[in-house]
Amino acid sequence: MTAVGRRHPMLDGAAKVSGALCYAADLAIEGLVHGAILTSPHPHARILALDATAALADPAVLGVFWHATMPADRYNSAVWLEGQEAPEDEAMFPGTVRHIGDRVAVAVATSPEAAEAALSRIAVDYAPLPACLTDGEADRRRGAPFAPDGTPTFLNPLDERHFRHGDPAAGMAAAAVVVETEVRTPKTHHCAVEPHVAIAMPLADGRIRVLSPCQSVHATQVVVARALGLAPRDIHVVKTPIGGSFGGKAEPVLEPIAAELARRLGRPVRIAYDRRRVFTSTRMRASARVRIRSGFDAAGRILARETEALIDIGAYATGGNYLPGSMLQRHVRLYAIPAERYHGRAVYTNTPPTGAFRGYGSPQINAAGEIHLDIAAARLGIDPVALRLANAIGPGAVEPFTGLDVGNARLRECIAEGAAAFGWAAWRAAGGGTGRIRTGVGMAAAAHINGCFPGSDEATTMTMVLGADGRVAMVSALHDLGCGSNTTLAQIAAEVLGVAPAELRIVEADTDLCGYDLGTRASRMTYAQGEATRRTALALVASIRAAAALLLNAAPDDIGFADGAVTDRRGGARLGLAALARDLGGAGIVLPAATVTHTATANPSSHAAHYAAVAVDTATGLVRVTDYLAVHDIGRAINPMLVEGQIHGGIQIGIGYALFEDVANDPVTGRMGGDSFARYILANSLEMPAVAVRLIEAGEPTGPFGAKAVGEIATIPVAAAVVNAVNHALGTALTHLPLVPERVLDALDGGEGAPMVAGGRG
Amino acid sequence: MTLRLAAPEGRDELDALLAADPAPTLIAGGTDLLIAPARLPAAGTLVDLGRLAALRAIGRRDGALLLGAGVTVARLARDPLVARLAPVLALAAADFGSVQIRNRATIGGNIANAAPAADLAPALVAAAALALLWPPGAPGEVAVPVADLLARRPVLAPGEVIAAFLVPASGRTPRAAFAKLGRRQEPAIARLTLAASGPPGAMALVAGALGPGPRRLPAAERILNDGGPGLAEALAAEVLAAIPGRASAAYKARAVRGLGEDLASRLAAAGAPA
Repeated sequence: MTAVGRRHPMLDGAAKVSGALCYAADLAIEGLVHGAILTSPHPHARILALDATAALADPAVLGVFWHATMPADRYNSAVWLEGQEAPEDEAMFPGTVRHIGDRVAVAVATSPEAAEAALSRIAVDYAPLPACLTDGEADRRRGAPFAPDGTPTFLNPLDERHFRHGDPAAGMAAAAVVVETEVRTPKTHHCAVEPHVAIAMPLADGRIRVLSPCQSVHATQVVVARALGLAPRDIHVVKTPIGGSFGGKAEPVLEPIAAELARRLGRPVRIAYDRRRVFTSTRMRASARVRIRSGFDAAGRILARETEALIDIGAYATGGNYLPGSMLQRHVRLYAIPAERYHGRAVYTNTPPTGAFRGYGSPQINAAGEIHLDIAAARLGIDPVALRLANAIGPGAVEPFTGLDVGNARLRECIAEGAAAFGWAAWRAAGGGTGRIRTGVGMAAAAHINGCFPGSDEATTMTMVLGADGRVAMVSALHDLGCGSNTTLAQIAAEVLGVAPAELRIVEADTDLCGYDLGTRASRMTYAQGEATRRTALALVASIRAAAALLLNAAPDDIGFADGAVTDRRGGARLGLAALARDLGGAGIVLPAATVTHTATANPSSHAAHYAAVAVDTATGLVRVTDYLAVHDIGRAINPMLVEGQIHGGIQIGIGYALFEDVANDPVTGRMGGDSFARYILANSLEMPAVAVRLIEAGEPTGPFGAKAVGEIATIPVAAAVVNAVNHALGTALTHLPLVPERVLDALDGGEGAPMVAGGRG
Repeated sequence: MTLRLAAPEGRDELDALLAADPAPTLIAGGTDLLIAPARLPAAGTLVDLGRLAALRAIGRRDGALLLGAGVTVARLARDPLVARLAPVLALAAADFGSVQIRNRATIGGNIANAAPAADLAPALVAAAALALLWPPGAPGEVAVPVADLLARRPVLAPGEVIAAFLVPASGRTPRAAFAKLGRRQEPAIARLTLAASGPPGAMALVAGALGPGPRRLPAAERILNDGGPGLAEALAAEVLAAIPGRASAAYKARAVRGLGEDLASRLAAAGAPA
């Protein structure tokens, strides 16, 4: 291996750190005008009237648009294919706003400052309506979410999923111990460095071009077209470099509005959100309240499990209807449980909408399941590591929801090797204490997916061509979200082609250039597009050999290909790709090219076991994570450095999820408590423990060079590992995330999550 | 609409700028104003105080410690004269913001901004510091105790400038300790701070982030000075009395016990023979 397995720096890393790379907001575009969005101060209100006279008095202001003057077409921002059925409940500007931060109007002006200033001169007459601000109240507002004519009623549940496997009642009846817990997870935000931005411009051919830091140009094309009442062919979408997404840019938010304004004004239009609007007016991770009841035999084997998940998706559906199913899918691929009952439901509230965020349901259901399991371990008197090993799935297990084989699943190795490397047993015995600072260790295991199979759209098309300049261009709907996936794919291609990764010329996603692709989501980049890359590179090698055979007047079998060069096996010529391209040109032979469509036909599990040590100040309730080990079943690390980077970043997000992060929508006013970096607390560098990473590289037969995903799973077990460590340190049963100091002290003082007593709380 | 930036280098130049009507907006380190663009005026003049040499001095005046209002928090944290004459300020400065914020933020800015959670406010009050103000349109300076200044609304009249702080100093280095409670290590908006400073037996104990301005805690202060038991209980009672009915009161009353413990142990460590 010359490229795969190497710690190759990100191909665009130097351009990023030097500032040479242009993000969407950096692009200088002639004639560009700027839109600013007026957002609702009410969680629920009808807009009776809007007067923009004062705003329009400024000659720099080109227009103010709102629901009475913009397309009323309802759309769903989470669709990815034309014609896809989805709950369509969102409009560019609704007549009734449904959350604080909902879009009321847009002012367009010749400068961002003038557009922003215009907003304060727009008079809006609102008729406030009763707001539903908690999941509990939402769950009581029952009814069909859409009227027969398709009008959204916003009654609940938007969607629900029932699942049953085996005989849960019999399992519970046979159980020696039954444990029940309720875990609550907060709404959290991606906090990507780059705020949301979209640029749109009219094209000479009558179409609208959208420049967007998006996760799928094809999904953006479909959503924009739908919102504008146009056909996808009328929209051209180009992906721009992304300064972080984590799912936050998976759904178009500003793109439809920018496109409509560009069409209407006949000029390029940019809309950029400031940080507050990114918090209040884009997407975030849905909160969940998950009640789990498990029956165990005396040895700790889970005989049956019942799960009830209530998911608060906020004001609009987006992809929230998928959450009950996606949570179930990940819930049932971690442990071998003979009997399972699951009921998940997604409910609307008058809080900002939710959407994709690194794991799409997995962080919630994993926190619920893994915190539950540690509380059960304490009740059973069984070590948490032993309890997990007694129930962990193994290679070739069949996941009961989709019936899919989980592939070469090395969950047990993650748990066992992690326990040994972390020194679990010694740490565990030493934890607790009676002083002010208590220490503890905790761990959690995780399972996640690789792509969307058996979803119907898990196909990707790539073209590779040997250019006249001797370099290979790879063209596909690639969306590097900033984590280096293009580098990983270049390494895969480079390995096959025998060239340096930097030799690949990567053309990123553009709807005019690329075949359809779902985009970067669902941990499918390395697994699905990586395999497409490997296969396309192999096809290009075949094309290269065929062209070389013509050139050298040989049979294709006479032509060898290794280390980026063709050789004539009959003895003689050895030609590198540049020389080959030159000679082919000279001989009038068509340059090699290959196009391959790869459709994933499996969805193996990626696994992980994370180990955390914490120190808890029992006087202040503050928690510090002091040591950390992450063990990942990665199949094979294409680029160990980027894998480690993903894991470090995943831990940072996960520690925030466990301890700090919460947008904290007020249950009475609906106001967001954490709508700035002053109030929304992230785990910054000082809160990061020393992190050790171990990779289990046992190879996944269906992945490129054996590789599996790491991007999302890196953050999935973190919160439970940290919470379990806190519960170990304090002897508590804290289950309400994040573990802010108030909640920690409340548990110590006998409130919610108080230390467990024998025969007491479940 | 344009916003003009002026950076005067002397008081005459500054006075000329301040005479404008409406009075210009003053900016020092910019760590508050620049991250909250809504607080920046859209037009007019922004006066950068950063080039006024007089505001950057650290020295002595009649035995007292004189600190220019433009001294950065990072400098305050490491200056040996400050450590000797007003160690509580050095300790509070070390817990202030983050490295980047300490490098930009100034003492004067922290007080002029008058946030209830300002880290330096309780430390300056515990050290009985006076603010030296340059009155608008008049020569000379006016001395106002920091505690009084922070009780004013607005803290500064239009055109008024904090030029320096004067911290009384005796021959001996006072005892001092500072403790801060945030939601993470740093940067963190203080949820509660305790600053103690003064000669042995006569220290002032002042809390920050407990109401609009720094607040002296007399009962706990007495116990801290006498060395008797009951510090935690006294602190908890004074916290509850300061913010009755506030949602955060129960937590702060609980956590202040730990903060008091930190303060006492730091005082003990500082007082221990080297």
